[in-house]
Amino acid sequence: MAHRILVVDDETHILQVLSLKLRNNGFEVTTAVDGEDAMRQAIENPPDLMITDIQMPYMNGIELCNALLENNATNNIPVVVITARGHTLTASDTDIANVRDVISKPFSPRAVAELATSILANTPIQSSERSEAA
Amino acid sequence: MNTFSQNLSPSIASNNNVFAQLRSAGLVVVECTMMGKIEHEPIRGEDWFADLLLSSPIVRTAISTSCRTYLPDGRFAATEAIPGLWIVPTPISTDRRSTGYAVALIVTEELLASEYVHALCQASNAEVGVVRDMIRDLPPAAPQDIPRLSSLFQLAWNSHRSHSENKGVIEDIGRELTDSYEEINLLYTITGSMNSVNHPERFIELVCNELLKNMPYGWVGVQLRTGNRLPNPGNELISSGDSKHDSSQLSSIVAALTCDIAPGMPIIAHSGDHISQRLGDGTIVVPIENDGHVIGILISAEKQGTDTTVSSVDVKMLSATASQLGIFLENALLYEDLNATFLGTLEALTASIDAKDRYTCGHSQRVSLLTAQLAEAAGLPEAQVDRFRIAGLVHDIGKIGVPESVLLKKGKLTDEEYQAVQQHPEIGARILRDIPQMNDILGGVLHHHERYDGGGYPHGLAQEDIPLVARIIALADTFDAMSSSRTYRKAMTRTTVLDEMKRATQGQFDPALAEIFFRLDFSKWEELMIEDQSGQTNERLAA
Repeated sequence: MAHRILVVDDETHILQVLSLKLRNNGFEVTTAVDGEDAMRQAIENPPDLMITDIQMPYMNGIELCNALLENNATNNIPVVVITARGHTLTASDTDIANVRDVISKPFSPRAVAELATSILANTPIQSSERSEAA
Repeated sequence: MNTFSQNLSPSIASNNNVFAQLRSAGLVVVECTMMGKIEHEPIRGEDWFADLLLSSPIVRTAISTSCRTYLPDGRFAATEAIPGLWIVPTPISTDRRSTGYAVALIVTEELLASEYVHALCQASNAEVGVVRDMIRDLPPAAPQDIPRLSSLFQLAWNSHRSHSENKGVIEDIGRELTDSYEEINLLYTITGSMNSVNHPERFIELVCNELLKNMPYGWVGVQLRTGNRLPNPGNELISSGDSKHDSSQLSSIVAALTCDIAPGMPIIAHSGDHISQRLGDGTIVVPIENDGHVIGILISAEKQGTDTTVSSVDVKMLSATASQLGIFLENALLYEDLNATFLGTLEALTASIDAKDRYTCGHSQRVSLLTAQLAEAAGLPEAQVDRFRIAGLVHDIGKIGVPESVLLKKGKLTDEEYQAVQQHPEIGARILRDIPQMNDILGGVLHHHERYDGGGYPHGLAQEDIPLVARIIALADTFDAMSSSRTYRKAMTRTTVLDEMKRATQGQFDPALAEIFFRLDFSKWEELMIEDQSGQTNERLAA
């Protein structure tokens, strides 16, 4: 069984590229299109890692990180944040306890896969088996 | 359930779902070649109905015939092979080419009454009575449903096909998009470092490293042919990765390549040609151009893996990078030319002042060297070291305003003469102050005769009030002056000079800097000294 990663972005092409790259690197991947969607999925079926965009409708990436921390089921999920280059994050944004790393767009999909591999290298698989619906 | 073997080709395995769904609607489906040869069918022993139909030579022949006689005119294509068994072929295409047929077998209740049911049972060793009961239980289709079932089969099959094709297209787009992301990211990284024009070799190294991360090659390298216009890297090959050749072999192979290439004409090595023999199939050589001239080459060589065909992504990545390198190198060459002209002009100017007095010949250059060495040893950043080097070079520029009679006087100076000499830091600062680009080093010129204890000139500054650059030049200047034969003092050996300076450290110099200065490596300074002195000897001989 593989580590499962939840990729969150409102841009379809980014979801597509990251899913493909991460699957090719042996991960199981699920996707969400905004923070609310991601939060719902994370509670229902906590992933081993979340990779999320910042700018998203309904609930942005920072709000999502904070919401994850406030829920017992999701407060252990490590998060990688993707931000537009030139969009500076404040220290309070990146100091959120579960944010492991910040990546700037445009990013190298290979580098993201390497980062995911290194974050999950010594982590036992936590995520439950993917349900058919997920 | 109608199952297909797991070890079928992936495309068939992905068809499993649609096969199962069609089977539950009573249809047995097989896939045939263009010539009607059955290529994929349900495996035996898992579905009695499929076994019954497909064990019969009559049915198999009828399937083949239906494929071979299929007319793509859009008309209803079902044929009744034997009474009660209908065969419906529908064409399969892959990459816009017809590659075969999917054929559905549909049984109607007429089969029960047909004598062919005996033939079917015989072929699969089944009892007619049992088979009839099982067919009845299916239940079989009504004859009038055949056209509708056929159309539904064709519709289902075609939408299944277009669905999997679209999935394939989306995956292809995803893959291409992934490559584009890597390319965009590479160009971003490269563009972000293009401001380091004063260190072309570092930029080139970064480019090679980044490319190697993105391309399946053993090594990536850049060989310039800008001669000595860029002292670093000069004519050295810069590369990232490992080659099976040693570095001297590689240099000669690559040097030969730089002669082969023409503007706008990348070379891709093909099996057997001279480049592939040396650097492997799939090696790509791209010209780096400036103003229509080839100023170097970018190479990716020794392709990894078994597939040595060159992808368009590789070529695109390399070409895009080569054009960035072209722009960068144009700037680097301009910078280097300007910088060399600037430094050369300053050196000529200061050397001509030093040359008035044969005992100070080369003094400015040597002080410049020691200033830079001390600044570096004190841990200053490289950019600052470079500025201090210039400060060291021009520190005595004010001597141009001191009368030669005073500068060249042998023996002790009068008070007035000494005052005239002491003017030179201020004269120097006045000369340079209107050049904005010199503002950061003015302090070095104006204050290099200040003493750490406050007893120097022109302003009597003390300790940290003396600019750092001036405190550094003071050490370099004093050391060089004491070491040279001057009108007012005989040359002392280096050890004597250092001892003498150590004694003076009590008040004259910044003690922390002096400590570092005494431990400097003076070998380069010595080389310059010997050069300058032999120059003097030659001049004297010439005179």
